[in-house]
Amino acid sequence: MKKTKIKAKRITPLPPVPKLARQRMGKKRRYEEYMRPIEYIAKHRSPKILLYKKARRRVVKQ
Amino acid sequence: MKVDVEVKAKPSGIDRFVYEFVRILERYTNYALVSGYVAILLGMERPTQDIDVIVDGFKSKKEFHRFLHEIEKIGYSIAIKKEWVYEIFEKRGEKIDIFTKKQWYFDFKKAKNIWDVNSVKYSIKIKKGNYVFRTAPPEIQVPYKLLLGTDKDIKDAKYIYERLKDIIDIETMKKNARLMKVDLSLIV
Repeated sequence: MKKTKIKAKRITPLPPVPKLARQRMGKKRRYEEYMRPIEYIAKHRSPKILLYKKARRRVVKQ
Repeated sequence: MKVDVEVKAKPSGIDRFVYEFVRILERYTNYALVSGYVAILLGMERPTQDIDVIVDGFKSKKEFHRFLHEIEKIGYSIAIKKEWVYEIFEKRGEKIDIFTKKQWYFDFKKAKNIWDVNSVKYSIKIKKGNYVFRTAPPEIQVPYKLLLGTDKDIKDAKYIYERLKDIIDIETMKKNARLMKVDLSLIV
């Protein structure tokens, strides 16, 4: 197949790489979040996070 | 006008048709062409029925209806009732189909996630003949096509990568691919 010729030179700036919510948190805040008691999280955060945290603690205990 | 990519070929019937549409659209909002048509624009020979367009959004309901009125004058039509269309498109963020008298139609979608927003904001300019089109940056488009994952999408991703290799920032593309959880080894 004959290829069409192309002339390319980038003038538009590159798109930034989006940051994940966890990446946006500082290291210290991330640690504090992890160390919070489960009761606090149960009260303030979604049940999904609670499940995730419980599962993680279980892994740590083993 | 400075462009990122210049395709040295005569515009085809579909290019003329898309240009006619986007020329009106860009007066109302920012847009980016995505998906299969980009591969066709860069010289791939494959049929398509729909042209996917992502837009930033319209300033007001009035502006949106003015746009619809203008495209209707040149023969386009939409399947949804006019009084609901703004609600469906702007408020609910659902895509709408804009049909032509010929066999093609536009999949018209409002930018919803960060990939869509960046695709419109950092869209690159591709020139073919005298026509200039805005398409999503390849650093987002290539991994996104792989994320969709059909045979057709993988072929398109490979083709777009091969054609735009010179201007693609590999590091950015790899980071985007990591976030989308796709494997670039298929094409890079």
